[in-house]
Amino acid sequence: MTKSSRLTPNQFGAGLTLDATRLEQDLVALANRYNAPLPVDIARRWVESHLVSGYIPNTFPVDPYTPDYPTAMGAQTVVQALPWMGAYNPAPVGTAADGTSAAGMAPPPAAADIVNAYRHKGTTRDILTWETAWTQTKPSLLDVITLTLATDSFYVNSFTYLSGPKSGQPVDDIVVQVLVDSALDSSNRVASLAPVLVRNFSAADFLISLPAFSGVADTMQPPVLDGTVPTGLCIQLFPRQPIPEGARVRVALSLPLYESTLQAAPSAINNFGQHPWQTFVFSSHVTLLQPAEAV
Amino acid sequence: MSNPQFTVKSFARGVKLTTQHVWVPAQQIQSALQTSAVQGQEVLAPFQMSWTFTPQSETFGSVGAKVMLPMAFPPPQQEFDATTRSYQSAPQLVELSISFDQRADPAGIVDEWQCWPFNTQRTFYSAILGGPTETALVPLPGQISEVDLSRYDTVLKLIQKVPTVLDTNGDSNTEQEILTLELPGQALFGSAQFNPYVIDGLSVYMNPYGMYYWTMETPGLAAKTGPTEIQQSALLVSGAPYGGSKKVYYLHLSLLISPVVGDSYTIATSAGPTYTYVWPTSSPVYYVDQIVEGLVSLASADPNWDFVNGVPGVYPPGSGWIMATFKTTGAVADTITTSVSAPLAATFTSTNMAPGSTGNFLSVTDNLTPPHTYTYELLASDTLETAAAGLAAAINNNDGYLATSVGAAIQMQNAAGVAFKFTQGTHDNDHHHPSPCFVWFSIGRPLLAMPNLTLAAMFKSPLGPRDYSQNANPATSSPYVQNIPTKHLGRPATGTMYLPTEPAPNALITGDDWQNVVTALEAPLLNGLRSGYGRDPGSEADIFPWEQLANDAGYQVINVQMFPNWWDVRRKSINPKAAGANTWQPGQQGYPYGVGFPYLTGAPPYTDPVVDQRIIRVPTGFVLHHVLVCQNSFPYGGNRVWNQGNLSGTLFTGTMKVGVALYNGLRSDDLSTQQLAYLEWTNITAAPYIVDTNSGYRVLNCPLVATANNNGTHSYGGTAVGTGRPIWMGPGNSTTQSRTPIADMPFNFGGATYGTPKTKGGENLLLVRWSMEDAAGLGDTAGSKGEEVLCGPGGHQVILIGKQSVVGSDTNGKVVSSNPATGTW
Repeated sequence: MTKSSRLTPNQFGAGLTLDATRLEQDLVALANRYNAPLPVDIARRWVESHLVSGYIPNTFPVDPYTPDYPTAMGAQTVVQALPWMGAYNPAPVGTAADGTSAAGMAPPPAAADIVNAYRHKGTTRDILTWETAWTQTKPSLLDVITLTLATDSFYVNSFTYLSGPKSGQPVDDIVVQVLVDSALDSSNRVASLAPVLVRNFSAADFLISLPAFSGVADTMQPPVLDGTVPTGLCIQLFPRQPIPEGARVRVALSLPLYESTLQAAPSAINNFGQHPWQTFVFSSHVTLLQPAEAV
Repeated sequence: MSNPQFTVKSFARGVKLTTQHVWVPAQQIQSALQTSAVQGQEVLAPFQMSWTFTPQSETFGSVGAKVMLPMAFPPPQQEFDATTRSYQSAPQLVELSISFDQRADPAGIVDEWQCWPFNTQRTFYSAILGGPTETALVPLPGQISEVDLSRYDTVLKLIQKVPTVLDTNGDSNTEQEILTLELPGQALFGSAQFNPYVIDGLSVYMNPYGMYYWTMETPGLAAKTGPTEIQQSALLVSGAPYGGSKKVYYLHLSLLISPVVGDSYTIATSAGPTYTYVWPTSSPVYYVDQIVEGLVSLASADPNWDFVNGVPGVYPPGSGWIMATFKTTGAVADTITTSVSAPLAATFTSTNMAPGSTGNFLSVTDNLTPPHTYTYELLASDTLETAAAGLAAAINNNDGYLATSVGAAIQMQNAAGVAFKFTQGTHDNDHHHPSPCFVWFSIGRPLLAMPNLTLAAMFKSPLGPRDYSQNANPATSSPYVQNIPTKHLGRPATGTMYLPTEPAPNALITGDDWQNVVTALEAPLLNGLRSGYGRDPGSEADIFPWEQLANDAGYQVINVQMFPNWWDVRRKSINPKAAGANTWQPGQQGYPYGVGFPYLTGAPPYTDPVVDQRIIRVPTGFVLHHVLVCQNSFPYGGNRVWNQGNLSGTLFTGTMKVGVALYNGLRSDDLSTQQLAYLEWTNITAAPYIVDTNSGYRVLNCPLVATANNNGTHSYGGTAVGTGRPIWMGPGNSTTQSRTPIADMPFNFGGATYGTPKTKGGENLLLVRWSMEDAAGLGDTAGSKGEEVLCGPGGHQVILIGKQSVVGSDTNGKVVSSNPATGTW
């Protein structure tokens, strides 16, 4: 059975003229195609790129200015919060007596001036968010997101409710989302695409390993505080999301905030408390797939 | 195209066409396809280096202050030659993405340093006094603030230099600025919101034997003062008393203590909006950063005002102000000498106000003759606490933030009980003019931050052959790759391609014959030319059954920041705060005594190690060739000049330890780590590993695991470093779990044996650790170690460098060895 030519200019077969000119045309066409394969000829030539970030909470003293400062260091408390910020952009409460006079301060924007009060989707206002963003001029695949919330005996978080109706159950109030800004309305987060919006999941689904394996010693050097393998959460998602060229991509991890009035101590409901970012060592790893391109 | 791999001779007219004319070029293509030798044209593979950290105001708290971020691109081990400095290709910087978390609003983000010192409830935030209906609020740390976004003007520079280890003629002290990017804050982060913003079209080649540093300067973050953005709690002393008629008048202040994390908060008042606050459980501590007094606009006041000189005239807004910075948080009085400007120079004396106390907290003695002393007295601080307690009863803070607002009254009078006011010219205090006096309890313009500033630099490098191992025995294999699947050893998979049998030389070529040749040659193209590794279930760490392309691996860098969010933490401040003297300032000396490090227990000097760990997904088909560690002792707010050396380089007495390992325990029943690289050093032992030292940075070569020094000739430092053979990594499956042996530790750190990888081909996470410890303590309060920066802004860096193969999603696809005559595959 004779097949049809797909990539060459000529078709040969019984009853058709066969001459050197046309043979040469076909051979040259094939040789050139192998010398410089078109993108369509090269199957699945993707290259991984890695965007890694992290956060290890500080433990700053109450007040470095106090005379007994060195000894006061024992009373460590939480102060550093940035870059963890609220997901809700508040309008100023009330109205400035003099507005924004020339000599005045720079206040929070008035409600009407806030572009995106809710900058994330599917979340309430009572959350803190870690967000990183990037953009590229070439299309890519957002392949894997790996967010690790590592705990140890210093950074303690059982990721379970400690009291209340869900006592003993894994927490389910962590939100992971990927936002891709609209190409036509890039400043409007309402118009953003949220290809990944994972919420209300059980933290137990993302434990690095089962609690039965806690305390397993590791042999890596240097050792960590407890000398054990990592514990905590490793939220690994495989969105395989195509990212158009020039798109703005935002990856956000949101944590709940618990108010003191609902709990006598921050740990009363769960270990997140009022300083949820303080309860784990954070690692973020985004794996992109980008095409290898001919020069 | 120059020098094409496949050529076809021209079939000139009149020449007898033979079978060789047709089959020789066809077989040439067939041979290349069968041996994975199709070169194709040059293909560039991208890789990215990214940094994510949070520059804050004090990062740029001094003139010329900058942040530095190191980069290096050493060639793969097989190309590395420190003598000839040869290489196959150089990475090319092509674009740079810049973003920070701006809360989706074209505004500034207020910095936490706004609240310095970091006491339990931070500092006072000024709020505008408006009688009983105090309303206006200032933005809080982490909140958006409508500032002049030109304060986000940023200059990024890329500096190139010869690394110290390769300096043969003293040229490592020469820096070359090879790229300068001036980023206008208003244009990028204003209402147009180019955030993130990408700069493309760059074409900057990286010298593989060079050393690079990004420098970043955003001085506007720390710009506290300015003509248009003075943060105001304006207290208009309107209707001020005429001299002698009233001796005392009161300023009603509304003082807001900020929450820990800025966000909404409300408070219930008798009129107006509902506010809600939470009174802190601990006592508030006063902190007033700045008082500004003076004439705001003489246009609305008596044009004849003059504080001292008696010269009539119109003064532009702002002239004649006095500014003083003082703090009321200490235990004893401070004499304020800063920023007192003419014409009303004065001496300010502030007294600390313990919570609940009353009395004078500030006195100002002017320079008139005779001098006048004015006192600022806090009255009825009971009001403060009573109000707070009252507010606490109304708490309904759904946001979990801590905030409070208090009302206070300040009495202003001089020592003789005469009301505080300005003098006019040579007249005395009794001049009958209303005092157009404004008092600011202000902290100037809000300090700004760039939360989660993310610099993502994209590079490209040409694809070349991927790494492979000759066999699975490290003693006999050359080349050798550790931990590579023994199933394929990384070697290209050859195949068999159908091509119609070449006819006898004089045989007649039919149209069908030729069409079969064409179809056979077309088939691989139509099915896609393959190479690289699979990464989907069933194909992990595996290669295609038949690969046609010769080049499938590019240069790869994975940049891992350690302690990325840390400010300047030092072992001991060079100028620790003397008792009672608030001389220690943020941005000047950083945090002393290791303040802020976790894992420290008990009291200083803290001999516990401090460890940070990044946990990342293991890459696929990545061969690790070099690990560089960058010890950052660049001071916070540093403006150190180039080549000033490494602060910790001569002072730090402790030990730094860095390790890289594979881990297979993610949701697994086997929890094992396999060491890949390790380095520990002190100032004494660092020398053989140093790649570069510069301006507070020390870049070191972290050796890969090995059993002999002779593995180490292919990296910086040669055999002294004793680095190991390249290490393959990627999640495997049951067919690719068998791996070539890997050493246990770097040779210099006890590497003795090769063995089966502890992760058994099932690695799914990559662990990177950095440990700092000192037997003398990270927070040595007794010694005189001087100014040791344990960790500068942006943190330390661990740079993983190697070769990354392309990856595919289908290793079990159609194998294009078809016989068109039968139509079967």
